[in-house]
Amino acid sequence: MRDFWQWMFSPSRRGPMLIAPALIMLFVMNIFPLMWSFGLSFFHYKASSIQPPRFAGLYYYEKVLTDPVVWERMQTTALIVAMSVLLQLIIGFALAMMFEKKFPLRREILMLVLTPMMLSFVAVGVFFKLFYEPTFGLLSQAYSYFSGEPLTLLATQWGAVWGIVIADAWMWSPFVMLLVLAGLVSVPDYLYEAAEVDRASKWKRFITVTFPYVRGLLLLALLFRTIETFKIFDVVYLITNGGPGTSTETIAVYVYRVAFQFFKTSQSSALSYILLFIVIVLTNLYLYFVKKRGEEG
Amino acid sequence: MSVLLSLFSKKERRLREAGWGWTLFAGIISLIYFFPVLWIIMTAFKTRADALATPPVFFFTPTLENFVAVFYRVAQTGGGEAISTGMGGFFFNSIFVASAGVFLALIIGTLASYGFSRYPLKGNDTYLFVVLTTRMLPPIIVIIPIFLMFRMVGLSGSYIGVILLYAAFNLPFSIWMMKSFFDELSPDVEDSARMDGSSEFGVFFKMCIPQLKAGLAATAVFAVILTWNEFLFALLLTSTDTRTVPVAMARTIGGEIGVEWGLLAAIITLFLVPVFAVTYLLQNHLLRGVTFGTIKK
Amino acid sequence: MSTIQVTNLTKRFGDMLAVSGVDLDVAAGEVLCLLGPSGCGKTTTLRMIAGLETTTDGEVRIAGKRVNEISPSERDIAMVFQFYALYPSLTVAENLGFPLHHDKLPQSEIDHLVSEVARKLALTDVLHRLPGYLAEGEKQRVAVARAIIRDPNCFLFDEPLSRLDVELRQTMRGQIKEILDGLSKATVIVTHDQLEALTMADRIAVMRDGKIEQVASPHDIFTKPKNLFVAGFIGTPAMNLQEAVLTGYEAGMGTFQVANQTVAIAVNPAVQNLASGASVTLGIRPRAYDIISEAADDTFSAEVDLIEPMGAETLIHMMESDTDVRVVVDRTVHLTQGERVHMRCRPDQAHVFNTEGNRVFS
Repeated sequence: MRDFWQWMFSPSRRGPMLIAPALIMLFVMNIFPLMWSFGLSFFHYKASSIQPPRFAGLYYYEKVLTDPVVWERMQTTALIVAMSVLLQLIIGFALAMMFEKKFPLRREILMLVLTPMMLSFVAVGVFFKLFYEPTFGLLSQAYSYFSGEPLTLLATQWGAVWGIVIADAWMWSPFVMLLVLAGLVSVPDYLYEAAEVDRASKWKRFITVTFPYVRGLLLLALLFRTIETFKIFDVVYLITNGGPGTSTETIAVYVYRVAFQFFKTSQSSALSYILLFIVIVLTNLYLYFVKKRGEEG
Repeated sequence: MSVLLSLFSKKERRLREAGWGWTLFAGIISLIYFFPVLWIIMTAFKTRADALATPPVFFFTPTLENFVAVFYRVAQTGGGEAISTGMGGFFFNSIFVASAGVFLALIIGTLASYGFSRYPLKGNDTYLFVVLTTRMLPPIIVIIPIFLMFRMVGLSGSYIGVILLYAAFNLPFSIWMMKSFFDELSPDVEDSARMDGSSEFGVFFKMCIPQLKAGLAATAVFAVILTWNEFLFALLLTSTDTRTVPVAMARTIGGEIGVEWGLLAAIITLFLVPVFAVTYLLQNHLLRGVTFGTIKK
Repeated sequence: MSTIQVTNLTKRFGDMLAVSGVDLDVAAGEVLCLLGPSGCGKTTTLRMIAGLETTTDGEVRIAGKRVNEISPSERDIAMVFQFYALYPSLTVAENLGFPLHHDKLPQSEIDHLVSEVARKLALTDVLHRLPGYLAEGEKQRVAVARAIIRDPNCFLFDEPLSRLDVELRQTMRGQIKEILDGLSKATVIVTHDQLEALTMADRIAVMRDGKIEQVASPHDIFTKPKNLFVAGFIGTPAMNLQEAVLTGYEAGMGTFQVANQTVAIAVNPAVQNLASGASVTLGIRPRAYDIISEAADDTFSAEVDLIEPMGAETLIHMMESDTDVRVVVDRTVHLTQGERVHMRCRPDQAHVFNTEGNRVFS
């Protein structure tokens, strides 16, 4: 028994021993289920029926990839991602500039801005649903006060898209701000001083000194938020539930529908694998830039 | 002298002094940004009439009736005595499930991160990539097979199932976070402890862990909040007995008799208290936390 | 004319007085080194001259003009920073041309100046590289080149060589000296390395605790230190400073009671003005002693405690009644530990400091 322990904890086995429990857990709870559903995607299977699965080959992949509905959902998702991430970058950058100064109560005021990203999607969904409420929602009332017309934001397609984008951008702009701020405060003082001595204009100072230090983090923020927003589910589910019609149904909401409302298990599995592929590519890209930044810094 | 030295050798930039004027400006902008949260909290203290008033009421006599209503309602039948709404149980579930899941994830994750940091394997980066990918995946594609699997082995709706799932959900986060802390720790201290005859367990528990207390606490608290906020898994895998607060909130929105905004606001307000506290405590680790430990500064 | 005048310059950080009442006068073409231990206020002084730090009191004049209220960019100065401050996203050539953009020169003119300065500092081969891919020595040369590319009122160097290794430091010292000689600008160099100051400066200002202790030529700083601090700070190995009591003076020879021995030493005639029995500090450099075979009136004896070979020379630590005396001898001199030796100070090499710590001289 003693020998066994010695064998197990020999220095060369220490690394594998330490990470084994984690890998086992991830395998059981994540990787195995994914592999299983990968298998399911090649069979005809419905979670709601008791019929045994039948082999289907690439049928569901073909079906999913040629399904105009899937492409439509992808477009909706892309639209929301593009609008929301762009808004996050703009607002986040502006907020970061505001906090790149020393002033009394800075920490406390920063708190106010940082809070949204720590909130639950459900809470955020509720906030904005309350805001958009047609009769007594604050936004609707403000709108009708100025225009004289009632606002039913979520009743139109573009209104609903904006409704989601505003909520998501509000929640995640602080994330971008945090990254940009980290970049802004990492610029060494002496570079600003050198630029000052070298008589550089304000704009030139921003381009040659400030921006290079923010650029990397801005790119990381863009990628990270793109990956995260691509998965957008909770906010959509709560604010519009995909409506009006299916005009704000994102791909994640669509997969949810296919899997848990129509119980088309095989089809949803095939669709999942396409999403998985996209996320892996984006994550790889993200980690590549993280590593690059680490090596440069 | 040390005062002077620290002025020049400090890594972080000396931010420009902006004074109280900037406090006022940033304070107003931040308050506007924070307003949705404020509005919900205000709504929680309003009577039903105030909450639905047009035009909106900004000044009102606060009432606690919504908070009472969160936990008790008047029975429709019988003598009209107060009966529990079950919300207390949901709060308990949220706390219990989050703490247990995080506790499990943290033990396994810390060991693994120590392994990844100190005993890199061949293909270490690949393992770490796989670990992170499981976290970056859209939850919807992970949940489909897990849902089926749990239903098969009868874990659906049980505490064990949810806790296991949340442990797996927090594991990648814990590994990446803790690894980033381990990477910052110089291994010299550990080597020196080994020279002095400390066992491997001694090195880990007596050298590493005490130095990483703050990091460990930050990771734990962050993971608890992520779990606390989680919606989709809870929506699909909890039963009436194990339901968490976000799911209960979402159900309140979809209530049959119209949305009880005051009640909902009160639930959210209670739900947000720990989030506020944690955000304030974690301010210095926020960047690392929201990027899963991939970006430290 | 390119000059710098500083009068009564003072800087306060909160309660701390970082620089107090500094007066400096740098003529055109002159190189002045601000030398002192870390935290002595030398960098703060330089930054106030550059305008990167506001002054609490006093005046800075560059080229005869008061510049206290003027921003660094309007002072028309060039500065080399301790960490070089190369713009990381610009190539070497762009870094060099950067200070010229303000003058709205045509690109061809900029290119010409860049290639010229690059030739001067051997940077032609790396012009298209980013600073991140340069060796430390190359970065340093880029920083210097960027400073000398234009025709500013004066040059300021903040610890320019502190990040280089010993060998590079030696070559760069000579190179910077050579470049500065050809420019006839007022130059201030901040350093904590006395060798750097002694080799590059026309004059050295030794600072301590925010005050200037002495301003003089490298030669005078070394041979005529104004007080105990300068005497102890300049020179390696450091000057021997021994407590002594003056017991008599006659015809250029002072008699001192040092560590229970009576020694006659040739000293400055001003010593005769001190009262007999006055406590003084004797300052004698380790290289000012000769080892003598026999004891005499003018020798001091001590026991060899530790022998440190330094190559061409050998540093001997001697002990006598708890006082440590360091002597540098030629490597051909062989001594053994525990041996008792006699040594004599060479004429005019002994300094006498009074109880206030000031050198007694006339």
